[in-house]
Amino acid sequence: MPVNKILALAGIALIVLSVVNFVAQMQTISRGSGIYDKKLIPALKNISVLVPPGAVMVVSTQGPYVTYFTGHITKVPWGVSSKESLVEYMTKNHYDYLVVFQGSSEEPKLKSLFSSQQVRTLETSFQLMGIFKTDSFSTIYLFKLRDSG
Amino acid sequence: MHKVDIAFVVFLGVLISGYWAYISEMQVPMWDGAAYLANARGWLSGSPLPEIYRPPLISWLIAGIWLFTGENWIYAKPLAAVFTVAAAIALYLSLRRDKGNLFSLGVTVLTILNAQVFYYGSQIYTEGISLFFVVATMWCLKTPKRSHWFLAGIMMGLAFASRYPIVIQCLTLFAVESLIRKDWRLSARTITGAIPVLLIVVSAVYLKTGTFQTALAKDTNFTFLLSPFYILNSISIWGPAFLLVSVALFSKRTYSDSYNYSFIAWFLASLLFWSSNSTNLKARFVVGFTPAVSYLIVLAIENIWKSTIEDLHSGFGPNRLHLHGKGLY
Repeated sequence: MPVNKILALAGIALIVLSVVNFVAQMQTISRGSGIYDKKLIPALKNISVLVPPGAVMVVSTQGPYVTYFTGHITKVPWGVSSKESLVEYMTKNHYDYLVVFQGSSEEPKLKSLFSSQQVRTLETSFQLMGIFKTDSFSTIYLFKLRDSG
Repeated sequence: MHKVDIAFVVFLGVLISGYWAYISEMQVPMWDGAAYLANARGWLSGSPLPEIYRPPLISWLIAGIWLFTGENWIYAKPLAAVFTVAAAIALYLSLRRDKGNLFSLGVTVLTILNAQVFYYGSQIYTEGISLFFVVATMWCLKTPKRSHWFLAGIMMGLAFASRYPIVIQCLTLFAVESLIRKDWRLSARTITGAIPVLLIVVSAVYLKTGTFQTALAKDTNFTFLLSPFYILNSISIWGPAFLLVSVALFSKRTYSDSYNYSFIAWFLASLLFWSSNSTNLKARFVVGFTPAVSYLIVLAIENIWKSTIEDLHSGFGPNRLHLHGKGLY
């Protein structure tokens, strides 16, 4: 067989290998994406029942999910660095509700406050309204600012 | 019907079944998908858009579906997959006339069975939709029919509406094909087709949001110091077949047919553009130009197959310039 045909067949083998690799790659990409989570949407629907219509919610992360599935406007507390400044930020902007995805925060400075060790310390300034478990997203906490009436 | 066409139809059937199975298992959209759904609600209800920098077309399409079905995210689930399948059909048909059935099938299968293309083409993401419009732009520019150049302009505008940066890939294709054809009236037709669509898209977003923002500031840090991200991850993204891209690029035979020029430019311009972003590097950004990568891979094999022993020794094939030459098949 001519050399060029052998090389071309080797090239075709590389293509076949790339296509075979597809299945493994698919598993890698979809792992951790959370798209198979059956509990997230029901959890967010439950949150929407507990929060009055029109109320803006401050979220630690996952803003688009909370916005779409609760129907509430969400805000990420950018620039906020502690529990005290979070309370101040929410009071100043008349935001009463806080949704925390345990261990996750868009604002890097709040990551430790929302960690599993510290998230419950928020209860000194916030009333815990609900805890919601999910399959692959973290546990969701709904808080209400205590001084907000 | 040619047996390769039958094979393509079978492939399409398997692809559609695969998408159906995959999408039906999805319980939640991905992050960006939720943002597009929220924006669709904003467009439909008249309420403010939660994320104003998102391209509008996908949300308009979702809102259009909801007009008939009522608002439910489930109805938006297959949207991107429909466009990805349409992109596969457009890619196959666009290459078939000039490159032959087998070449065309190879490029299409390699493109669609890329994990990034398949996965993000199944999500409520803009990748599958923009892939269709960039392939449609290429198809319209490659056809001999002059009227299709106007349509190419419309496709470019819709590519922009579906995913803003993809318009750079369309502009690259347009620039190369214009230089090859050297018919400025034809080029003017494309511009005439694109401008109204671009104006409508920009005006609609501006009227809705009071501004026109194409991305978050943190995602638009461009630099001349190119990131090696896509090259370092090329084997992981495209598989070992990516090695053949360099074979195609360094083969003189590749440059003997001007039909190949737009694919070379499509690949290089996209790679340069995405690599010049220093802060926003994601494997899924390759979806738009994966057809160009697949084309160069299959072209490398065609070059090797057609080459003589002397060509292999010199590393280059004969250098005959001709327009839109026929392939092997």
